[in-house]
Amino acid sequence: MKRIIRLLPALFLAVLVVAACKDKETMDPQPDPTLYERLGGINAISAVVDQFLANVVADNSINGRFAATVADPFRTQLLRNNLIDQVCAGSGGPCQYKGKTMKEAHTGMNITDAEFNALVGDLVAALDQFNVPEQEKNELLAILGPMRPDIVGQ
Amino acid sequence: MKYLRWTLFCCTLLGFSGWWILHKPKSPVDDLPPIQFTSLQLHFKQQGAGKALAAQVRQWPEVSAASFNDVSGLLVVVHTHALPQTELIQRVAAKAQQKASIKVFEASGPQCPVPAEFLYRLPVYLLWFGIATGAFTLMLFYRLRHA
Ligand code: HEM
Repeated sequence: MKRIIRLLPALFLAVLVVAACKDKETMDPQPDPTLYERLGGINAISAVVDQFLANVVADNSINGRFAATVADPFRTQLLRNNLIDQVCAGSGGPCQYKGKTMKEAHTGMNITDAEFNALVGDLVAALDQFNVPEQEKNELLAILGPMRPDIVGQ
Repeated sequence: MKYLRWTLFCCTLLGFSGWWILHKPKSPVDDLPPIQFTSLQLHFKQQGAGKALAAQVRQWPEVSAASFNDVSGLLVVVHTHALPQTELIQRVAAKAQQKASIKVFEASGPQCPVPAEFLYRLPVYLLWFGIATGAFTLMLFYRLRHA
């Protein structure tokens, strides 16, 4: 009993600290939701990426580039997972992109501006299909746009 | 026996360090159901019929995406393994009221001779190699001590 009484001040202090922290938490303004959250998280991103890749594979102006990938189901799955990780990580989500750098992945392919634009067109079509708002669409394209020099003409 | 012990010990180190260097962090993507792409060649006389079919296919629960391209006449369906390719083809053919043939994509130019799946799973293979050789090493050390 004596031990419990001796512990009471410590317990009281602990309760005070927890309460103060909780108060601070509620007083802090909520951080703005990340692009990842606004896009709808991993499931929404994977749906957009799947639609994007379906558009690319159906698009015969660029699908020849992906022939070797599509011919191997494992490579297709890997490319899809890498793209989801890339968008998820780039938009502030809890993922880590584990693939090659854009330069490494596209070196030797000699991709043209027209092919790059066609691929971006397929991405925009996928985003429009899911009614992704203009702001989120532009933010996502702004993340991918700077990759152009590492992809085109390599 | 001594050489075997030390060779096995080095193999164990090699396996574990290889795994440690090559293994990739877990990602939420790993929890998504695996998918498969099926590309079907179709011919529609009516403008918009292919896109309408893609919109219908997209509603199927096992399908995560479907796209029809008017220029190529390709219907590309991204689906989980819950919908086998043969069943997908039958269902699409029934909906489109025509024969749906698979578009085979063929790799051209030089390709890596090592399958992509092997390279991807290499860290796990190395881990198992390390565990197996590690177990043998321990067994040998134990046997020699008690011999
Ligand atoms: C913003 C534009 C692009 C992004 C974000 C992007 C992203 C990626 C990523 C993440 C990979 C996988 C890298 C890895 O294997 O580690 C990849 C591979 C690839 N990309 Fe791109 N890419 C873009 C544009 C293009 C274009 C325009 C083409 C051609 C038309 C293209 C063709 C390929 C091919 C053929 C591969 C190899 C796929 C495989 O390993 O089987 N990419 N890209």
